[in-house]
Amino acid sequence: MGRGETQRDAEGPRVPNTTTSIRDVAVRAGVSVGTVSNVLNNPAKVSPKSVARVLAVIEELGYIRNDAARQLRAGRSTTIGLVVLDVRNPFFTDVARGAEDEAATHSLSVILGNSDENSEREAGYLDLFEEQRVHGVLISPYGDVGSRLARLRSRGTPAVLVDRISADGAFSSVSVDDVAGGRLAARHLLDTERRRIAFAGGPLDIRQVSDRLMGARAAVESVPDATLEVLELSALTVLEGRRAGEALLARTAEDRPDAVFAANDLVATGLLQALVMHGSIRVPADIALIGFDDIDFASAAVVPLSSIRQPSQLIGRTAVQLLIEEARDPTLAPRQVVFQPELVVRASTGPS
Amino acid sequence: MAATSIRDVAKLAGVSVGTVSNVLNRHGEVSADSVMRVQRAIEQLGYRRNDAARQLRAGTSSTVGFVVLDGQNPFFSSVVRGAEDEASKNGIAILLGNTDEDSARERMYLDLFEEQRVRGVLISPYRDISPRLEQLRSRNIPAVLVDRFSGDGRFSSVSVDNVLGGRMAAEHLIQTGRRRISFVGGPFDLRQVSDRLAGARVAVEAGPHEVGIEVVATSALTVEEGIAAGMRILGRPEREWPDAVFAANDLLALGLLQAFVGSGLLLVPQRIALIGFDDIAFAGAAAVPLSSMRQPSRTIGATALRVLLEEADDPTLIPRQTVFQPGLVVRESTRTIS
Repeated sequence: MGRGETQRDAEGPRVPNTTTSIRDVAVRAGVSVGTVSNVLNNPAKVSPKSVARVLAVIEELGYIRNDAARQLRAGRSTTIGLVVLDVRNPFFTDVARGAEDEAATHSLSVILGNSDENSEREAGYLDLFEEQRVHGVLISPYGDVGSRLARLRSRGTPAVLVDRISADGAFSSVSVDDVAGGRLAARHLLDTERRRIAFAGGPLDIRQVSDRLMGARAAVESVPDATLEVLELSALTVLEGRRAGEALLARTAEDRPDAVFAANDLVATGLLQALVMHGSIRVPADIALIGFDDIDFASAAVVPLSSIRQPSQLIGRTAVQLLIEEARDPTLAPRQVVFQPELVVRASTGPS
Repeated sequence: MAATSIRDVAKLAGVSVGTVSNVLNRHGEVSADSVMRVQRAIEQLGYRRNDAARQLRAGTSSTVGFVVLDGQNPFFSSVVRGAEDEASKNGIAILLGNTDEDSARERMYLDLFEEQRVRGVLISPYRDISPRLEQLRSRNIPAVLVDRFSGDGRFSSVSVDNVLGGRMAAEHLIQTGRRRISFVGGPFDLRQVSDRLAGARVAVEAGPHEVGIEVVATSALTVEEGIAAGMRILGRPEREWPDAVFAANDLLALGLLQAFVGSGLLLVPQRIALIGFDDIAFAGAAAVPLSSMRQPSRTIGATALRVLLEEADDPTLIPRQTVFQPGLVVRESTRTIS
């Protein structure tokens, strides 16, 4: 997609313009440049009416305090902003580590914001990074941030999606084929003679989660006597995994699945804690368990955990490379880099 | 020094304020000679582009910078999470920098946060960086130490009593009949590590006379370093194996466990008891569920943020040291072998 189309995606009545100056704001609001400056720096000095008028014009023109920012930038900031979904997930800290290592080789640093699967916090970090005129933004998006990122780009800050493919191809992205990963996981469970499979994950509006589920469904539907149920969780955490495990423990044996595909390794770890610590359900004899991400801790688990491996550090490194190239040459067409996930078989999906 | 202005720079360099501004903004129309003179004056005066920053301040003061030692350690992720929860209540966003136990990266993040005029800095420092933090404070950016006691009381800090934690861990090993303790950890210029060892030594000295402690030094507190240390221990003649290992954190302990379990022998806890520190979420789900010293990680983060905001609002506050007590969590890895 060309730059012109991207700009049409931008919100607001006018395409924000990187050259909008404080003077444009003053002219349009019918006030002096000094008044605009006071609104930005010392609003108490200005009448509420003028404040409201200036802020409305700023919004309309998409003006941000470029002048100040430009002075701080010394050309361009040497910082890359990275917004992750969950800073407590070792997958994301591994991605961040890969990004930091690659950034360091270009004398850039990475600052991290944790959206914690919250759209407001996500928007807050994007605003902040824009104000700081970062070199570029890496983001594993939670909400629909397409138009926000388009606006960012139109103001000279490139963005690359991490762990998420750009559905409309508007942005470069580095991800793993989650549908293929979900299919791999479910097929492995089916191959080891499991038929009543439960998928534990959520929220389902996280793309990674719905893609993994979609892949699992495809695999299950190709086997006539196999079924798939969904244990929907409110977050991909150890705690939510434990809750899912407790829910399974509360069922009668014949109502339980014979395999669980957890949407990530944190959920799988929580499930394992609940099942193994309780002692009445054996993994893998009663319930086989597979996770996703293959974090460091998966292999050290009480029952070593089968998982779908993502090349997490490589994802981070590659994303930084794409970002730097786009910062250097904004005319580059967006590229989608998709890595293939790998099945890692350990004891948790051994024979029943 | 904090009051150094662009005018002072111009005066010392013998150029106009406009020229200094042009140098700062990398406009081309300045002679090489002037650029050099201005840069020398800037360096001499310790001038920073506060004017520009001040203009941005309205936008960035709702930000707190958090510098952590190891972003990949779940303990720090959990501390950060606690700080974030408290921050969002106050409409503040946290920017995270990972030093990865590297002084150069630590300096870089502090410079960055200063340039961005953050409301304040939370930091789990690598080495002693008090002078740099003093400098930040003189420029109206308060700092609070996290997971580190401020030895000289110059800064507020929020931490657990690591000496006590080390003592409790070693006492637990001694009480469960262990006599030859290895302390695995490092680098020792990390205060957390040396404090935990100091506490362990106190317990050993107070214990029965046949109890001894040795140190197996690591270059970092990571799973990989734990695996390597475990291999080194197993590489000795069996009679020289310790009967207990106290790992300076859970990542090391999980690495040690991988090495010990990977040997195929039933080593933990039968031959070697193992205890870690931090009680991260994975400790309880480890191959042999891991005993550990629990830190109230989220509370540490939330408390540090509250203290920081108070200091940002009132720079005259006297530094406060908040010290939490660690708790012993006993699991299978230190079970008593009769």
